[in-house]
Amino acid sequence: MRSLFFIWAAVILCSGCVRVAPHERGYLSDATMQPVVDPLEARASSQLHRAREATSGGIWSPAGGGCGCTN
Amino acid sequence: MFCGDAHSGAEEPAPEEAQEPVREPWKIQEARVRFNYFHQKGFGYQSQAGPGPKGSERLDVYEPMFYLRVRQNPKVEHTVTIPIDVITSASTDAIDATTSASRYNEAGTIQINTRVDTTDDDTVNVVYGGHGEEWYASVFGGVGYTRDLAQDNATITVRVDGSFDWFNPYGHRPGGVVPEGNEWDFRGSFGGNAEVSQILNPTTWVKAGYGITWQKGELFTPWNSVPFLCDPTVSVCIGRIREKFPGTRLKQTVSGMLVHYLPRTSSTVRLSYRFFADDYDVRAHTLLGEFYQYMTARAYINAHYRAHHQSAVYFWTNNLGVPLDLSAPRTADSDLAQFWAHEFGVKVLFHLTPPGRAHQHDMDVYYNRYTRTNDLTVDVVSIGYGYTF
Repeated sequence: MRSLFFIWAAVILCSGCVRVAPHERGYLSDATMQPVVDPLEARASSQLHRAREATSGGIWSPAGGGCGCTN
Repeated sequence: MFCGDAHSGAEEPAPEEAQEPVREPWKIQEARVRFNYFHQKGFGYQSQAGPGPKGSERLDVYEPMFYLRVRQNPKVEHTVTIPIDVITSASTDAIDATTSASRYNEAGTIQINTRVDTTDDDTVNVVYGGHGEEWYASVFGGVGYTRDLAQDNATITVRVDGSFDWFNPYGHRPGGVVPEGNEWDFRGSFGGNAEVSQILNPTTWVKAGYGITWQKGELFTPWNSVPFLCDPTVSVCIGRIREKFPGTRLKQTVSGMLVHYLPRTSSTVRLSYRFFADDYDVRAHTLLGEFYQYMTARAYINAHYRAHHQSAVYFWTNNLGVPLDLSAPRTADSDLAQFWAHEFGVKVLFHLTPPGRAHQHDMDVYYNRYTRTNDLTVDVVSIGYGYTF
């Protein structure tokens, strides 16, 4: 696990010198390239997993205090 | 004071024009609606809905969702998300089996995100909202800061969040040795996150994040129960007792994502990984792979596969033995057991707008199947519609 984290950190740090100019970002602006492609789909998916797995919270999830367990 | 003197005199603008602020009306930029249907079937030790130690976890959820993105002015944008859940067999227990009082439940959440671009490179994001359902309510809020670096080739985000829940655990009355009452219980969750994202080249970006969440209060689920003194040979238990959790919980996660576009085939590949660890001895790995393929310029198909493995909390049991220690933590919740979960899904999206129109609308349909190795399956069907102004 620790090694995976260091690999990610290395990728991020080593790529810091790469600069993609704004006019080169056509593909990056595609809808399927966005961090969240569909906000409602992402929420429904998160809700499905949050109520059925022991791993809520941690990242971008303020609650996770157990649940009202709606679904 | 020095500056004030330096800019006096000829540079003073005409009083009427200088004091006239330009006010733009609020503008709706995007509206989305979605309807989800969840059908869950399976069995878990925490459920009393059955003759044996494992009760039914059958559940149906009808969930309309609404999303609105509104621009207040060039620097401020709000998004409002409202999911509403209508649940059948929400909390089947002995009382419900007789009265059906809680066989149906409704839940609603409103979440507002306000994004403020304080400079060209700095963004503050505030989130707040609330959730309500039978016997349970919650409010939450948080604030985040994002800094764009190197001409937006990289971003750094830090964020803190909190939530406060209160509920009446005795609205649900699993039979057992715990005395009943009419008291409200509380719990709070507080979290911090940090995330870095980086564009690697014109078709690839990555991000990595770390998060921590600390919880305090009553962390159990009110209607869950734990079988005790079971005879496995005949699947009979002497009784059930309410689950009990430690008073605090500390969770940590590390995650990463890689997103890559393939121009030659008009495809997008997304890979995500998340590691979770907490002080209940849960260790979990989650891997998600997504593939998008444009069929035409106005339609794509998406498929995904998700694998999740978790270890059980250290106090999980499906059969409490003697001596019965009422002060010790215990749960039989199948969600907190050790299992593998596999999910796959298929989605089709169509852009319905004729070429050349400024406004765009799209429609999609998807199907997901979520299966756990400890006897739980969920089928999800969803249809969504979006309009971009």
